[in-house]
Amino acid sequence: MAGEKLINLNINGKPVEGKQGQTILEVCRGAGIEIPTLCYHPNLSIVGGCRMCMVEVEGSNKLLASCSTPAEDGMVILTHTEKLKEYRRLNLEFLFSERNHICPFCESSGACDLQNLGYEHNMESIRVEYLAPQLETDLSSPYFGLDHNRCILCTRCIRTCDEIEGIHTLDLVSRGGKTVVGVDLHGEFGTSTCTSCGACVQVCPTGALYDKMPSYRGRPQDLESKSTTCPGCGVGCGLTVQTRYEQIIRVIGDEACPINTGHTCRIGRYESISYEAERIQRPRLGAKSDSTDENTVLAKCKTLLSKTKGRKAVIGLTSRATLETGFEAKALLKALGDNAVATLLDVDLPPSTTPCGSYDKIMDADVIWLVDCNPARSAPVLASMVRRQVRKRAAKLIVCSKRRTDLDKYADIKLELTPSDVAKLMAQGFKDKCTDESIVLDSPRKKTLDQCFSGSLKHIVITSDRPDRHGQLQIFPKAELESLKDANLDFFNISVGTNTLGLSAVLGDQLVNRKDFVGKPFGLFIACVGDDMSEALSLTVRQLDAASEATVLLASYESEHNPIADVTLPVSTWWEEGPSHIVNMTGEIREVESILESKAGIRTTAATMRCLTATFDPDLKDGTGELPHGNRAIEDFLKNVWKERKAASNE
Amino acid sequence: MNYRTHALLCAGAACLSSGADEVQKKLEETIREVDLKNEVKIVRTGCVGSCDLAPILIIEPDSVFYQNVKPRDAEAIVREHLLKGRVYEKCLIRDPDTRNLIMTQADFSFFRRQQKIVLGNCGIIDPENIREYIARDGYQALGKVLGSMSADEVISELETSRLRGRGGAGFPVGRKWRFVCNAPGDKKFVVCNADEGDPGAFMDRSVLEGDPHRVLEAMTIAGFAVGAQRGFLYIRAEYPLAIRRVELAIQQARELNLLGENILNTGFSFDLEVRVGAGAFVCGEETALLASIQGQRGMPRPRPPFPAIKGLWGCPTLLNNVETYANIVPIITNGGEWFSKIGTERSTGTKVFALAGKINNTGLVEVPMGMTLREIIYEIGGGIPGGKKFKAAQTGGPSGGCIPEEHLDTPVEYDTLMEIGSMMGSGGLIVMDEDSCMVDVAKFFLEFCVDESCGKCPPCRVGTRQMHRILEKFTRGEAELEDIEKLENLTEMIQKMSLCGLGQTSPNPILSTLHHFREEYVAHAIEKRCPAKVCSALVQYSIDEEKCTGCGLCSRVCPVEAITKVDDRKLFAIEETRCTRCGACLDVCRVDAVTKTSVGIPAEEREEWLAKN
Repeated sequence: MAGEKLINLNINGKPVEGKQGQTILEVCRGAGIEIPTLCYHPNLSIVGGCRMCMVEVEGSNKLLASCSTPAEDGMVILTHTEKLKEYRRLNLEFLFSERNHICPFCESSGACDLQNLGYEHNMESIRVEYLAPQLETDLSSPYFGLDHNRCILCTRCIRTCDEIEGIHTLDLVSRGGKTVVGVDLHGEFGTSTCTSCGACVQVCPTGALYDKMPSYRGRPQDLESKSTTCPGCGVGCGLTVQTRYEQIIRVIGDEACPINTGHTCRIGRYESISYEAERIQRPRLGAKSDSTDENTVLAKCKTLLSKTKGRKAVIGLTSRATLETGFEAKALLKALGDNAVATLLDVDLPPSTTPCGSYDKIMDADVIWLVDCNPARSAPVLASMVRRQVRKRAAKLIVCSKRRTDLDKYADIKLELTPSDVAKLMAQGFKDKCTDESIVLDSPRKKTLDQCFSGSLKHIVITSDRPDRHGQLQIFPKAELESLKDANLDFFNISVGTNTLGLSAVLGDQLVNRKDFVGKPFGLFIACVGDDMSEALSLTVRQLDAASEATVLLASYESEHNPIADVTLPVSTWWEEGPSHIVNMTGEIREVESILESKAGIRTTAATMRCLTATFDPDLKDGTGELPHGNRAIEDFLKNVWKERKAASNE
Repeated sequence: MNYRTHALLCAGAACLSSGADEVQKKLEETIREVDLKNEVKIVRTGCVGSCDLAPILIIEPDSVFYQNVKPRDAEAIVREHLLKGRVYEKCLIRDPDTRNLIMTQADFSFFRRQQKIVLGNCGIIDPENIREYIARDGYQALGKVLGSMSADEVISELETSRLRGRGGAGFPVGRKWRFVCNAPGDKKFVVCNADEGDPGAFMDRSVLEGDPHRVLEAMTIAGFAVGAQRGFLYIRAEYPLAIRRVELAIQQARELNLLGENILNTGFSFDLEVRVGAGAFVCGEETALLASIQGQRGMPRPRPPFPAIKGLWGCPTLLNNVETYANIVPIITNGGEWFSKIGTERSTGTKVFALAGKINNTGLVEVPMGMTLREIIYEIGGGIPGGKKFKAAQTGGPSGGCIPEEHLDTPVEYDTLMEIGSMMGSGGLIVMDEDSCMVDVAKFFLEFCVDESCGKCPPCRVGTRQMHRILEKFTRGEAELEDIEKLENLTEMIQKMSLCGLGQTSPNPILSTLHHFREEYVAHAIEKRCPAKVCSALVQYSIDEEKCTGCGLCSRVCPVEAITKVDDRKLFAIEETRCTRCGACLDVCRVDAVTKTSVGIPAEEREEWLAKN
């Protein structure tokens, strides 16, 4: 909002410069003048409800809320007069008196905005009566709790739920002193429309909303924070990971990451850490009881390779594998011989994989098409962007799927069409500005659809390449739409996994589709599972294990879903991966940081592969030699790949 | 058809609930019986104003004013008055002083000093018939505006009239219209605030029930003046009759092309819709009202931006209350100059008040601005019943304050009322006599604010409850002198820090009573005495042995069996520890043997008690 025009203000007797369009609070914070706030949050709309940020402005007989009042040139402002300090303190006393704010028993003590302001205002006691009613606590969510007794009704959670996650599960219920934050009006989290994204917990200034797992495991000052990238899906959200004693305590969205600006989903926040799974400690042959040393295991690998010589060898990778792992896999392929190929274990790879447009395009779309996909499951943060755009900026949502999706309830139209029919419908619509009669629609749906094609609206098509009932990959035929001149169109393919794009760029033609091997016997299978415990992945591993003659498993966790391999090598988890990179669905290079130190005797997947390469062919150079050095070089490398692919697909 | 006589039957909410429908049925029946069907027309009108006299029937052209008409009176009136031309005296009112019969409205002091502009058609026309409104020159102002005036001329006329908003704050109406007119944007809205919520005030309801077209016409004129195409009337759900009549009026206006596309063939299009409020007082606050129309939770938001710039769905929105709109048509018809001569220099025109409380004539009155409170209360309202002493008048609803006797001669204007610590508000006027405890009154109004706080900001949500707790301490006799200071600290902060008008003005009843009746607070705190003998914790009931006849009525009504016979004599006494101070015994005693006292700490102990505390 802030323009470039500068304005001059006088704050507390000192000249301060601000920008036209800023609020008084923004100008003050920009100038290092700290005004207390509780309901204000930079990512959320302004409600002016907590009244902590009130300031005196010369010429106004009323106090003004600095968070909602635009700064004007020449304003003379006082932010910390004795009167204001006294009013603020009394306001705090009101909040402390209203409900149970007994800090020693609160999970958020030490990380509480209310508590901090209490200290700041020298509030050692309160001069009004404690009202503290007994309120309910909602513990029905597996991830977090809501204790109404700690709530100050700042509505940050409500606004986050509505404006960021776009779901509006939370809102105020009742009025006056009886007001509480309601989950689906009078429901509870466990059985509500809540997506468990946990964004409300992250913005709660007190201990009203708190994560269950991290509870009482450390105050913020005890925790170490590092930023990394989420392993959950191809969106590539930035995460801030808080650790203590070499353990992950809490994961939150990284405020500084432009992709998600602090937001993340259930998978990123809660499901990416495995608190209970047992780590694989040592290399072994066969079952768990046969643990042995690395040399024996590597020797066994060599024997297995020579035993399967001449037959096809397959490296199976989780799409979480980093770019660095990809390069090592490339070297390993060389060591395995001409017959070796690689495959992704958890996603089907479309024939020509190129990056989607930027996420800004979703936040600018007028019409959003969801074609046979359910982003709420496979890319939840992207789904929140769609919901935001549809609910807050009146974009039209057209869901085209024979299955039910989580976004159906926001759809303007639901069409039960196959992807190819959708493409036909769209091509027709863009050409003639209205839909033809070949696809029969009732008139209100047709009217809405025709509106979408009229004018030059911005369309986004979100697709996912999924196999149909017969295992045939259904690919959205976007090429013919891309050639349309009038269409303002962009495509998002959300079947892309965490680092599918990066791995496909590195491995090129050597990366083939997993379906090619199922049921067709081959030689050695090297399964790089890492810390991915998803069932879809385990299923592929089991299928390929059945087809192969021998299997080498690289995994972090014991899992009953994985087969008993001939050789099992322990590898580090995502959080121990060390500085490495992935490429998200928009083609952006995202950095993966070392959050935890790697465990003794356990290498990263990349390093383990390097050992294997050296074992199989001691003359071969390791893969790191080929890895472009630095982000800039990786970027250039990727750009080249995409260019070649584009050229190839145009031919 | 030419009728000889019109029987104007009030069909306002008060008259309807007192049986106006049955009266009408009886009238029609009897008229048929005596075969006057072609000579007498019954007209169901809007509220006449004197609601305590309901149901009301006025016979024109004789202008005879019948009150408290029961069905059997209706029959008698037809047979006597309509058939034989004899006035039916039983339903006339008597002058409280002279006991003489009063024949017409004009003779009745309640109406004599009133000047009806806003309520000009109420009680005269049938609000459900647009033709009656048109017959009283209705929609001529709209014709004049659309046919011969520019938007600028309309607004200039309002500026000349110096009309101020009747919703409470008294913002100049012309200036507001000018803001919206000048605000950039193609899409604009006109909104009428009919979420009248002040306890006891019902002038907006009366206008909507009695003369809805006047408001529709004004809103259409407003639409033309500010450049809006659509308007909303936000009416509270507790006014079902008003909602029905307004919806009917909109339908009738559309049928005659006075609303809708291309109004009166002038190319101007404008349409109105009713939105029903769900009963939150705070929705009368403009930003909360707009949020509610948009389907959101009715909560105020900080201003700026003001609705005139960013209102409904972000578009410039003109928001006035019913009474304000009701003034527009007369101003356009008669000119702003004419209007500005009514009332006073700073507050022009008239104001409708809802008289209630300890006063002889209650109901709606419309008086020119500048009339003194004494004139309103004693001349129009007929003074205090039972010869009791006047104590205070409360104006402005829960946001207003109490005005003591010394200010009774203050002319009623926006600014003068502010100066004496009250406000005009929407026009509620509650009169209190010597039996009212001012601490209790403050507590009553505060309770209203506690209930109606939306819960958004802590000063209002928590602050009102904290003030209420302290007032409760006073009424229970548990307060100390320092609680007055504590109260004052809270009131100051709540006034300054609250988000909207509801919170900012919620301490007003406390502040005005503290200012004018501080000694009552002191009496509660120090002497543990309630001077008006209202606060139940501080009063005692006793039975005067001299007067008691031993009838036992009090003993029978006592809900807690605290009144028992004293030994062998046939007299009764109240057991102090059991008594809940409900006052039932006092009400039933026929010989005034039951007395209520508020002793507090005896004077001799007071010094000692004071020294100790």
